[in-house]
Amino acid sequence: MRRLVAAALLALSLLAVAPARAQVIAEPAPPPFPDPKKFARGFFATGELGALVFLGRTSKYAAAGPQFGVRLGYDIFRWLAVQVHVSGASSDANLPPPTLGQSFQTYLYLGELRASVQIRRFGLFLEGGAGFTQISNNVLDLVNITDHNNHFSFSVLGGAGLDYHTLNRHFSFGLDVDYIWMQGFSNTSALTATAYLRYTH
Amino acid sequence: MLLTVVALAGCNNPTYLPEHRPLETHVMMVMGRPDTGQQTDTDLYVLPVRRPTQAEMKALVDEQKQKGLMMPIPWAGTRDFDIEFSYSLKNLDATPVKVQLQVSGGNEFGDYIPADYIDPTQNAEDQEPPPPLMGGTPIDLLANETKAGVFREDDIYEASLDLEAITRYPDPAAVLSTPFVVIVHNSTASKVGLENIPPNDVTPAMVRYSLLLSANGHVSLDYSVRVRDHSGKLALATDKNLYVKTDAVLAPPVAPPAAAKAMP
Repeated sequence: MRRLVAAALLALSLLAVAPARAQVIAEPAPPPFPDPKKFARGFFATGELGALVFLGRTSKYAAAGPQFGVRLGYDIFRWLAVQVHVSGASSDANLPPPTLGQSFQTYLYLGELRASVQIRRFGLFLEGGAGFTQISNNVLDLVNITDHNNHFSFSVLGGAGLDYHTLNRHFSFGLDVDYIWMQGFSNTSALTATAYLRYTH
Repeated sequence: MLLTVVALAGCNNPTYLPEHRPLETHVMMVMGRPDTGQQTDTDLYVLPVRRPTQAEMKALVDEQKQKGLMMPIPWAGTRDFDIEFSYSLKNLDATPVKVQLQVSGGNEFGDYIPADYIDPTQNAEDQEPPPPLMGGTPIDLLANETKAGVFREDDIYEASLDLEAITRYPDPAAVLSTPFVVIVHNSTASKVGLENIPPNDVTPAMVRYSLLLSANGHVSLDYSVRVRDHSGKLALATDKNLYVKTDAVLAPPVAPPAAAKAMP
């Protein structure tokens, strides 16, 4: 009988005790710093938004204008990528009277190479390429920048930028500044400054 | 994708055409003193339109038959071109001047010449020509001042519609008064004078611009023409053998009685 009572008391005491829980006794470990080797690499698409500014004589006749563009490419190595660059900018034409209040668009169609150095989440890159520039109409014929037979120009681009990788392995964003030389438009040149968002598959 | 982007980039872009020549009024010397009366200069600007092919001509004839229209379908219609005419007037004198720019002209079928619509049966003091299709407002220019102006696409569309009413579809009983009626009314507000134009008509574009610059001083006019060519009918200004005649005057299909009598 005594043994039975003792067993019942033990069982009751076990039921009354709250279940044991783990106790945090130290700061949780910080998340591991993004490892650039784990950033996605391969096909990528970049959307960009910024401004195009003509330089030299053309800047007298063409105002700075907004620019939109995309770059589609592939990372051959972590440090080298090939990309196709298509963008368009809209500028007001500042011509002498009577041609007032007109505008035109500048389109870029370029093939480019991008070489980059990754320092943790930051990437510094240089890029260069060549292709064609198109001016949408002949308004600059009036000041001999373009001529009526030629609204396309061979063009060369060179530039640099800074890329910042997010904690998501696919996304990065950054700033990009490019210089463009347009041989067929009276050796016109222009600068573009854009902010971009890149997705790498 | 790249080709699509390039093709889209070229859609509906305007073409800027240079002027035929600048206009300039010259102050004459009379008895050793400058003549302060009105000086004028005139010129005709003709839009360069390519000729239609045989197939395109046939399509126009077929369209006319299908629509049952009495008058031919224009090759250069308002459906084909949106035209804007920009100009600047510069006072080359060191004294203020008053200047007027009047623009009349015609379509591919004929011209509107305001002087032909003076009614000879009226009293002498009432024998006034109707207004030009565009312009005509006196403009004051200070010494060496330049002023710019524009006849917008909708202004030129309106002028084209007025031309259609005057040169092809006037009221048969009131040919002489038609320009007085249609030019002073904006078709978006009033259709007065346009009643005889068939509802399914294709309006010919104003492709001939008769410019009259008048001033009481030394003034120059520069202009440029902006065209949005929807049908690929615009030619280069330097092309030869173009569609629209460059004759000084084109007789309209329905001429006013006085002008009709004067014609051989």
